[in-house]
Amino acid sequence: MLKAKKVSKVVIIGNKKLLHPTVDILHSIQCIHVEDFTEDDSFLTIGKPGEVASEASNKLVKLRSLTNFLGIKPTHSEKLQNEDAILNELDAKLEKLDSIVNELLDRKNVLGTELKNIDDSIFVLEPLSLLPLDLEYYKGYSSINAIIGYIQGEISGIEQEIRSITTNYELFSSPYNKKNVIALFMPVEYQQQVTDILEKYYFNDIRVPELMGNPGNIMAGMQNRKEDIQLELTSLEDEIADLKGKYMDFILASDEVLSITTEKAEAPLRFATSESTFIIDCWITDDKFHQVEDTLEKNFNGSVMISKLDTEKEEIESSTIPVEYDNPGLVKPLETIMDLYSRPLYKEIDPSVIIFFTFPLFYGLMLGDIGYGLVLFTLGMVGRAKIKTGGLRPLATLLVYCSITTTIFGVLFAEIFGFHIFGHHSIVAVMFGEHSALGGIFYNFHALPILDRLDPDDIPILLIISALIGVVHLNLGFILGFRNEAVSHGLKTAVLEKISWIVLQLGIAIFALAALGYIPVVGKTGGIVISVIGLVMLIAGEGPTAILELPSILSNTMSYTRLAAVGLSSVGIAFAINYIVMNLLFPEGGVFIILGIIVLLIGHTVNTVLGVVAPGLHALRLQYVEFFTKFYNGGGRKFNPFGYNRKYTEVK
Amino acid sequence: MVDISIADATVQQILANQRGLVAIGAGLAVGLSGIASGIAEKDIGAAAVGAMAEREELFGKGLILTVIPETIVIFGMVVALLLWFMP
Repeated sequence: MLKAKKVSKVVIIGNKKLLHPTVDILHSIQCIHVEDFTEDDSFLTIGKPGEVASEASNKLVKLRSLTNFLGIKPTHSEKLQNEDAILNELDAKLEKLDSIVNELLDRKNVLGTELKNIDDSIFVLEPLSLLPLDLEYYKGYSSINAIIGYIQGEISGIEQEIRSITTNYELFSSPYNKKNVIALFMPVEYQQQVTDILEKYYFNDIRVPELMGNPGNIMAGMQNRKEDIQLELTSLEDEIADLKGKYMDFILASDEVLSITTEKAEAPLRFATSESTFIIDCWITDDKFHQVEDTLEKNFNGSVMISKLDTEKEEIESSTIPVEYDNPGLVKPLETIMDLYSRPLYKEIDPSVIIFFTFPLFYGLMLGDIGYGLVLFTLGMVGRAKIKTGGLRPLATLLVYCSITTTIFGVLFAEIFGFHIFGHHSIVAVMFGEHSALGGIFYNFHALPILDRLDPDDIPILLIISALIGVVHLNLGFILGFRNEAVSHGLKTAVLEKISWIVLQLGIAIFALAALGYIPVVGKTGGIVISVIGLVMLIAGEGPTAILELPSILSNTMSYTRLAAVGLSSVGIAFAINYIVMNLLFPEGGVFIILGIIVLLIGHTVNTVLGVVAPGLHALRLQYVEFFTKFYNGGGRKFNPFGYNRKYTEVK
Repeated sequence: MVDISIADATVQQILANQRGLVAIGAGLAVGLSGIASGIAEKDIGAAAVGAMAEREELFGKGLILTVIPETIVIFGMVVALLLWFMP
């Protein structure tokens, strides 16, 4: 807790003949983080990949293209398949599947090409079908020019201009898509003049297809064929879906097996080798060292050695050491929040545990509603039941944590879906009347809420509590920052840079208390003196530019008032919805009751969505912006154990 | 339109009037600071999305940078609450 797991640099050295068995073992125990070896001037070279590597990766490429074609996505699988069984039938099945898929792909391509050709032909035939000519009449003249295409503008205009050249012509036309399609037949000698006229009308040529007969009939035939093709394509898609259902498990499992095989076979590329030995440069968490040592000893009788190196000080300083979180299971989901920002450096404090308390606290304080709390709890639990692996599971767990604090604060505020349970705004009192027996009990119950978010007297208290939480949170940040600075830059820097802020705040607080008359007036002078001491320390620590940072004390603390404000806005929305429904719609009766129920449902759904998102973002922001900037750097490297998390297969 | 001259107004009417002015002030505090936050956030948000398109792991930093001006509207809201609840 609060620190990353202790890791050490180790080397594993052994006889080159034992390289592949060693890789097998290391890959299965998943304990080491391998540092890639880069060749230098020494006699060491990178290792050679295993013989199976190229074959396995070829198969993997084939398999991935099948996965892609069938549209298979990784899923959660209940049943694990035996690795040996998969390997035994892999080649035959892959071959068979490949040929089936190739055949389907060919058919799909052929149909696709035909469909495209038909579409192209229809595009040309459609305008021609409006003219009263069969296709063969457009071609095969020697003394006549046949001009077919689109023009823009009036047909009568163009006809007049042609008539001014010659009356020896034939013109067919029809309006089409805001343009006109024309077929003009004229003696060849007028070609140049006609071209000039047509240019004025933005003439666009149509290429008449090499077909015979009536364009309308041909088009109808093509439409029929098009429908047939579409049917065939649909049945093809069904076949593909069937295939997907049948082979999905096999494909996912063999993808995993082949990935593991390739990873293991290619691992030597990351290691250093000499003529007869191999050297693996890696990191290991200290709690796993003896396990690995024993396993290697047991399997190789001392032919493969593991030994710890001294982790050099500069390596601790720098960000090269891979970081593995060391948190109890309950805190694990918060590591996602940390990674979203940046993983801590090895020497740094890992604040996951602190966020474990503060994040749900802030969230709950902002939302604070029994009804929303229970909805979120259900959502979180359903999420946890549905999502077994992957990045979303921690978020579901986090939602459960937040729902618990939301419910607790909901009880303190005595709110359900924005309705107040007890006191003067009690929903029961509103529904049954404050003088009725039942309504009266709720109306006159004063033990809850502890704080009423609709009461003008309580809201300033809530704002002050929020700001005080801010002061505590910020100073916790300064204390952690003091520790981090002390480790990396020494005690003096740490005091000047971090403690100075605390001294400064203390001075301001004493001054304020004296000014407000809570402590003797002499406190005013004392407060100023202490503040100045703090300021001098700060300038000594961070330089004169630190003065520019001074207002951040105020703005950071004020920023925490969002804990009250965001909550009030969601209370406000809920209150407005309830007011509209209870006071404006329901009393009207009849159809307005149905309308009221609709407004109630939609309104509270929207408010729930806002309620989940807004406090989440604001709680996150208070951690990232206000808290982390006091002590946190981040930028650590993930400890990435050599190995593979099997999801679909197992080794017998 | 009801014609009220100050001389004829009752104390209740004057108080209600003042309350109305406070409400307008509170509304302006939230509304204007909301617009200000929006203007500030739009550029940062666009840039953050651009950065995330290049490197997805910048989500955390992008989110933080985007919500920094949110503080403006929170201040506005706090001022409005103080106006309304602390006469």
